[in-house]
Amino acid sequence: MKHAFLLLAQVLAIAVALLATGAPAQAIERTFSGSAQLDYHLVPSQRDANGHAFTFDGFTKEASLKLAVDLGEHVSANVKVCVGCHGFETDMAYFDLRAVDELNVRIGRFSPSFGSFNLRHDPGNHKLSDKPLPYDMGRMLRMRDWNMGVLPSPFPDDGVEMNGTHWFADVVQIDYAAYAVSGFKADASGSDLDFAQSRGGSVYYVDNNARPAVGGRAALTAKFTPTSDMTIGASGMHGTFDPDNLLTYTIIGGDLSFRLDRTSLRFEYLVRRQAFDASDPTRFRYQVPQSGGDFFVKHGAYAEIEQPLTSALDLIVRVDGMYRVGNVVVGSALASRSSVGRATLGTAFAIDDNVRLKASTEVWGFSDRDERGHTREVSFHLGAVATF
Amino acid sequence: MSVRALLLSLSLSLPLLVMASGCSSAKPRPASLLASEDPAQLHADYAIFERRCSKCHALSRALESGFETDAKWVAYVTRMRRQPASGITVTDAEAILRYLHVRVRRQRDAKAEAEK
Repeated sequence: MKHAFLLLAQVLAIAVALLATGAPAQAIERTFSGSAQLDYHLVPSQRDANGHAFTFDGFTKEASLKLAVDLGEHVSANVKVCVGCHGFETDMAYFDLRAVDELNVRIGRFSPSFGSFNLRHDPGNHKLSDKPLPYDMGRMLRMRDWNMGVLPSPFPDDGVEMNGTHWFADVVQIDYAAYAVSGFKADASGSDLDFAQSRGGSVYYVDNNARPAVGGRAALTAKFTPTSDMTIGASGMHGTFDPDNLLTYTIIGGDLSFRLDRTSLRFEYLVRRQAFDASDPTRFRYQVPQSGGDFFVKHGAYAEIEQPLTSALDLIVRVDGMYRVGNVVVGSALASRSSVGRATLGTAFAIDDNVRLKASTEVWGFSDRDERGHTREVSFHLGAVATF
Repeated sequence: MSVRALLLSLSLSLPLLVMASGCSSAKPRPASLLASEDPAQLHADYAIFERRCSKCHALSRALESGFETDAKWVAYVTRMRRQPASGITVTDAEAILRYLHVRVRRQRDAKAEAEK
């Protein structure tokens, strides 16, 4: 770890030196952009007032305002603030120090590079009302039982990232990123990551264990034609989440996407190996073995196709799911092996250049029965999103 | 009809209803402001702009940005080109900027005409 920081410090010093020899600053350019989405999530089977234990049904809103500032040829800054289910939050607040296309150093608060979806996480940039299950942050059914997705998106954090992009003969694009950030949090006795604590200020906006989480991403984009390409990528992230710096999480992912003229095909897979404190076996439903019983593994994947049908209407078909293997705490609705699958049919209709209606239907299947004995659910989304 | 069948038919009908209404009143994407007699190169530049930029966001996000100078567009397109997996080469960026230059000029001309 010490070597990694020394390397990062050296890269930062090189970047600053290159910037110092660069061209004089241009006039400062400021760009504002933003989006607002209001979505109604209808779950016909849920009629009680305690629905939030199950999902965020009813209205949810996500609104954001972003300011991008070019301070010169080599320095830019981005600030993005959001209002959503968590209240008012800072999704981005960082500087980019770019020496060349191949070397950029990002410093501040940002979502570290992981997977392909997070680039489109803003509701103005994805065509369905909700996110793929591996990236779900509260719109999935039984979200408390599952503690949401594998890596709920977005995942802003404080830290440093080095990234860059390079083209080979206008045919192949290589992207890379390596970062050190505060990492996710939970209490010492946590049985899973605590995403509310990780992104909120309840225990201050600082690292809870003084040990950064590290990760990286590499991706290759190959162009078939001027308007078609394929991207394949791999990502990884590792850190500790407890105050004692003992319990680890490791997330790895792979993604493959095709852009064929106007059609987009996307596949993505994530898996998280999650350690937990098993010192008190009475907390768990299943017997804790002498070795290897202090973690669970959560897999998630999705495949989707986005096809414009007319100049104003897009059809989106998505299949996604998660599979969890490992012990659960007493009282959990999950079993040692639990799965959830979902099929989504959705449309996005542009009623104006800047305003889209989103409608989708989701059919759910769970491996575990709920208190009513059900394993299947149907839910609906109807939303509107505006961008500028 | 069972409750399950009713739910299923409802579930399928909702997006289909939106789809049908969309098809019947299809509205064009943000107008390209190109005419059929424009050079083929310009139409090719627009095609690159349309396919590349809509990979990650709606075209209106760019077209409604309000930029009126080439310098602002260069900074904006350069930032987008550097995005991971953008698929935008330097050559693509030049094509996109050629199209945007023409578009901005035509918007300015149209506005001046309207104010006369």
